[in-house]
Amino acid sequence: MAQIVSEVTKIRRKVLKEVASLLFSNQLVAGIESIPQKIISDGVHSYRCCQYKEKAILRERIKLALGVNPANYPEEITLKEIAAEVLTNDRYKPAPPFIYIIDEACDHCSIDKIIVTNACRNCVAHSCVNTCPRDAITIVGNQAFIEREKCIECGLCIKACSYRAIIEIERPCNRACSVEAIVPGEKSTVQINYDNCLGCAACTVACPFGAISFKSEITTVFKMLRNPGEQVIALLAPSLIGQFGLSINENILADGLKKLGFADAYLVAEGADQVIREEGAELRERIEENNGMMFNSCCPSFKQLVHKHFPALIDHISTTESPMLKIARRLREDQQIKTVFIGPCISKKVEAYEEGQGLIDAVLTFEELTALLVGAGINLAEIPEKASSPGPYYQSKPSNTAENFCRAGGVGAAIKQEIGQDDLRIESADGIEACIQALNKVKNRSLKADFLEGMGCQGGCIGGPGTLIKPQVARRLLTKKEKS
Amino acid sequence: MNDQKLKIEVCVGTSCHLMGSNLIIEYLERLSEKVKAQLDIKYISCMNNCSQGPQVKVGDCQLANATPELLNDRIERILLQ
Ligand code: FES
Repeated sequence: MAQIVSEVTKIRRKVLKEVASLLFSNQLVAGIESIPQKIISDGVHSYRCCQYKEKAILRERIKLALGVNPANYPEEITLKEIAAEVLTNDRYKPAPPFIYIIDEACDHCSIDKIIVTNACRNCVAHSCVNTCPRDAITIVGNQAFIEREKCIECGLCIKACSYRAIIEIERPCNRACSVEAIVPGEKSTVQINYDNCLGCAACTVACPFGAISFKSEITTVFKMLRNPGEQVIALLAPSLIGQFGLSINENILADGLKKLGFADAYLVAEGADQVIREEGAELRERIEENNGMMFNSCCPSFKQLVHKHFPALIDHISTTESPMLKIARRLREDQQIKTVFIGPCISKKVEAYEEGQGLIDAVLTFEELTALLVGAGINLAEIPEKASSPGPYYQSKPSNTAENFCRAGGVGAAIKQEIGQDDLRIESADGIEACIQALNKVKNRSLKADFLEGMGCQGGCIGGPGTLIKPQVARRLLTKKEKS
Repeated sequence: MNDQKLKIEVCVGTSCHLMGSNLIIEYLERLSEKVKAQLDIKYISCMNNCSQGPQVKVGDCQLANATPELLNDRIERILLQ
C-alpha cells in the first residue's frame, strides 16, 4: 500500500506544496486561482483530454488540499472564496470522511469483470460459447459477446478460449478495497460506502487516475502555527525513520520543525512504551481470567475493521489507548498546548477526530508535513547536523521495542517480551485482507493465539499511504538502528 | 582517472525529496559495480530549481522532473558512446 512516487502522487504533492507556499507567503487568497496553470506549466503530464478538464480536476484537488469537502463547493464558488473562508472561519476544521472521490478524475473504468478483447477471432470451435454454463455468450458482429444479465463471472470462458482473448479485469480501487466499500456510482463512476469504509486509504494509492484522494489538514496546522497564543507540539510517529531523506536524523528534523513554528516535538514511541506496559498487564489479566485472545488497539484501520465487519469480536480489542492518544493525554495534563500528530497514516485522522476527545488537534501525514516545510522554504538538507536536538525536544528516549511498533510484527514482539513467557502465542496479520482472514479464523475458533496483532497496511505503518520512502528502505534503517 | 568518470549530481533537498529523489538514489545504488565504477556520484542539498524536482545533473546537463527511467536513458547513452 505504500506509495511509489507515481505521476498521480506527484500531482497531489505539488498541489499541497503550492498551497503551503501561498499560505506561508500570506498570498493564499491572491494566488490560489493561478495554481492550476502553474502546475501545468511546471510539467505535469497532461494525460487528460484537454487542459480544461485537467484544470477542473486540479481545482478539486486544491479544495481537498484546503481540507474542505469539494461536493459542498460547486463550480460557481471560486477557489478564492473558499480560501478566504478557510482562513477566516474560526470553526474551520476538516472532518471525516477524509477519503474523497474526485468524480471528474474517475475514468469510469469498466465495472464488468469478464471482457472479450479484440484478440477474439470468431473461431470455429467457439469453446467460450460451449463452456458457458449460463448461455451468456453469443456471437455478435464477428466476435464473442457476453450478455451481462446472464454472466455470473465464473471465468470458465477465460480458460476455454484458445487465444486467451477473454480476460478478467477489476477496477483497481475495487481490488484494493477488501471490505467492499467501493461501490459503483452514478454514470459508472464510483462511490464510497462509508458504512463499510475503514479509512485505510488503500484506494487512494491504487487508483492510477488519482481519482481518490483525501482532505488535507495543512491549513489547520498552518493557522495553529501562526497563532502567537498557541504552543504547538509535534508528535512524531515511530515510523519517522528515514522519511525525510536518508541523511535527515531526528535532530535535524527537530530544527526544521522549530523553524516551522512548533514549540516542541515528542516521539510517539514514548507513548508506545506505556502501551506495552498497560497492554501487557491487560493481557496477563485476560489470560488469568481465561477471557480469550486480545487484539492490539493501536491501528485505527484494524480497529474499524473489527467494529464494522466483525462486531461479535469487539470485546477482544485491548482497551488501552493508542500510543498517539497516550502521549497526548500525558502532555496535556499540565500544559496548555495544541498537538499535531505526524505519521504515515490517513486513518489516524479519523481516530483523532472521533476518539481523540480533543487530545489531538490535527493529524498530518509525513507527506503533508514535508509539503509544509517546502512551502515555508525550509530545506532540511541544508540544516547542519548537530550532536543533540535543539532545546527541549525529545525529552525521553523510547525503547527500540517501542520504535518497532511501526513494522509488522513489532507490536506482537513487544507484548511477548513484556509478558516474558516463551509459550505465549502471538499471531500477526498485516494488510486488511490478511486481517480479515485472521479474524475469520478467530470467529470460527481455528486461530490459536493469546494475542493477535492486526495492521491495516502491508508491512505495518512503514507501508502506510502517507509515507515518503519505500517500506523496504525503512525496514533496513530500523534494523540498522536496532543493531547500533 | 576521476575526471574521466561521468559526473552525476543528485539533489536531495527537501523539495526534491518530496517529488521522489529517493527513487533516483535507490536506482543509482542498484547499478552494477561495473557501471558504478564509471560514475562519480554526488548528493547536493539544492540545485536551485526546486519547482521542477527531482533535479539531477548528468555531466553538464541538468535534468528536471527526473525519474529513474529518464536517468537510466541518459547514463546508458553516454556510457555506450
Ligand atoms: S531542493 Fe532540489 S532543486 Fe532545490
